[in-house]
Amino acid sequence: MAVRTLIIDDSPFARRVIRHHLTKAGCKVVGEAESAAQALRMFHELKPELITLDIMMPEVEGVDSLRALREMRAVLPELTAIVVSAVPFDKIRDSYLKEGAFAYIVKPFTQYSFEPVRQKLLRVFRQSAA
Amino acid sequence: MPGAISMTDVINAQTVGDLRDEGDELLIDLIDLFFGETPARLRVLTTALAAGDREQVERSAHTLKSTAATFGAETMRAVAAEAEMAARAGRLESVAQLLPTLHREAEQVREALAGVRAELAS
Repeated sequence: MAVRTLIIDDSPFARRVIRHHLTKAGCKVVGEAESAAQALRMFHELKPELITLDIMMPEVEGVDSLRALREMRAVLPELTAIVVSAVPFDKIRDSYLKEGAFAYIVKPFTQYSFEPVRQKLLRVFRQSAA
Repeated sequence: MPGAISMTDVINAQTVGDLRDEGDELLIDLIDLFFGETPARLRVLTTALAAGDREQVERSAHTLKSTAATFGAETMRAVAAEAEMAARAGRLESVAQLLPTLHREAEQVREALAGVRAELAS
């Protein structure tokens, strides 16, 4: 599958865990950003097919996660975005799903966190490769 | 199935066990990240506090909170979360009061993780 992936999270620990699980799921991590502003710059350069986006990152350079997601999807509407959050609130989850997010994972991660996403990714990217 | 690691109550056995189930390499990387990142982040927090840089104080406390959650270090996570909320509210004097506790908790987590790391290496 080797889906080109950009991980966006201010925690290096979260980035390491996400990289582990997505690599296991067949993704190729092409970059890691520690803020939404850095992610926007890397997005234009790396052109990933998939991003994971921590939505609880403090705003940097006037860019927050929601703005970054909107800007990326404006450039690339087919971008697949997995939202990662420490806030398990339906309202927040629903607002990101309305923005086109593909899945929503709640921190802290458990051994089961990535399994539904892995299966969903396999379905979507196998279909698009077919 | 990896062997059981002896654990203190400073970090959560289930959380650390789940990470180990993904392979020793991941857990070793995360522990080594803690050794490198946490002292650096505490220094940034201390410097930002002295400079009155509210945003940087909040950001550093937020990162320390996430770091603690990685290993289920609940006390450290709760102290960092309190510091983050205080910084967000502009109460930097409250963050200053929490700082010695945060240092102490981080040191306890470091010691616990050093024990885990030693067992993984043996």
